[in-house]
Amino acid sequence: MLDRVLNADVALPSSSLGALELHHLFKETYDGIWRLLRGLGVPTDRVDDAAQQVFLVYAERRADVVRGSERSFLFGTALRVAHVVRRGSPREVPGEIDYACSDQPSVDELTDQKRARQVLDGILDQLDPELRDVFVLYELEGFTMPEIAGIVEVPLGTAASRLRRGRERFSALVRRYSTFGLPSTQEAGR
Amino acid sequence: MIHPKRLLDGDGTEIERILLASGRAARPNARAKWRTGIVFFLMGLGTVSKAHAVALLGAKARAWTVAQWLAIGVGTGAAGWVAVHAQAEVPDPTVVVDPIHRRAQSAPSLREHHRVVPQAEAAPSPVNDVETSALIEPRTPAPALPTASRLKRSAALTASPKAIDAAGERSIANEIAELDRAREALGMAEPKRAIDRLNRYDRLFPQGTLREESLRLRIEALASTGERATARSLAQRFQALYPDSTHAERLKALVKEP
Repeated sequence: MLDRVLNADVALPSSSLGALELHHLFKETYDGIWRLLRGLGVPTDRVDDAAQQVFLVYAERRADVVRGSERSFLFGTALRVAHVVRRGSPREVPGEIDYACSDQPSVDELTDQKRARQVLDGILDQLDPELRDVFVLYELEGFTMPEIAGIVEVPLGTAASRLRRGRERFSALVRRYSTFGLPSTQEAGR
Repeated sequence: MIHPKRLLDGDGTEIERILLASGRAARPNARAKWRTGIVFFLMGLGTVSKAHAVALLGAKARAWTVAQWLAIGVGTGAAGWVAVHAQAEVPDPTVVVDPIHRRAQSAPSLREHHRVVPQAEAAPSPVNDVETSALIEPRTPAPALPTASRLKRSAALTASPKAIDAAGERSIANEIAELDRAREALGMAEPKRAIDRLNRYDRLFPQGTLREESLRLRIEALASTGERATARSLAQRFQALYPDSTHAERLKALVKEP
């Protein structure tokens, strides 16, 4: 048995090595996952739990994840978790955004950012979910289109088309907001 | 166009950029992040050890035996190394310098561009709450965990940020390895061995960053050995130290008087 271990092609990972890999992966992706969940409309009070759920899914299925595609797996899982959570949650009332920031901005700046975040959430809420997924991944998280196609599991052309439509819709909503303020929930359904 | 320029990078209007910048600037709660990290490490490590061992040897029982021996070997080596070398201060892994965040912070304010925006109440202080909890063992009080600012000062004075970061990762990895062995012992219904491991963890890492997990395992181990009074007392302490812990309720139920 010892020979088999020594001659094996696959090296057994030590606990420390695994821990370091996990530590790096967590450190690199947690903020992005959290932001993505927020961007996809997961209610503020459930974002932390949803983020935890994403990482636990990964921990359970880590052996099945192809090496090098951990990030895609995590963000793809975040999309699915966000959809599930959103389906079971009522729309968030604007004004309840929990804006937490590591550095300490001035009161004015924080107020402005908080308000801007509320407006952004209101506008993103008006996008169709499939457009929102691609739009948020591209514009907020900085993924490339091939990466997004992999995460959303659609052909590249479809992802590009969704992004184009998402941007058109987003720009139209921002223009509308600039003129009239945020549309009401009833209007959004139209 | 497959790769259009991003709105935030100049392809959008000013107000679009402000709104998107606010989205990028949003940051998670540091405490929730830390908690998730701990759970993630411990679960992830358990899964990996088992999966790789099974893949290599093909038989669960044998794989586990070898994996345990390997873990003990690696752990002993790591612990020895830690015991010999002075423990470096652990940098707070929740403090991340994020270029996106910096960029978002430098974006112009929304109020400058939209006269309809009302003034909102200022939010409470931002969250960057590194825990400064008390100790597990009351007779050996330890200093509070280093704060982010202390760590930054320390890093500037003693070593390059890269070196500090590497030391922190090694230390955390060693902590995880120690706790993982205690968890394995507990899983194999050997609570006394688990307690030995936890004592060892406390000796090696008096200011450990995974003390919440260590205390949780200790309570479970004590409950398993039948020392319910001690377990109950520690569970109360746990609740006081980590009132938001996801384990608090379960531990309370575990040590509840019959």
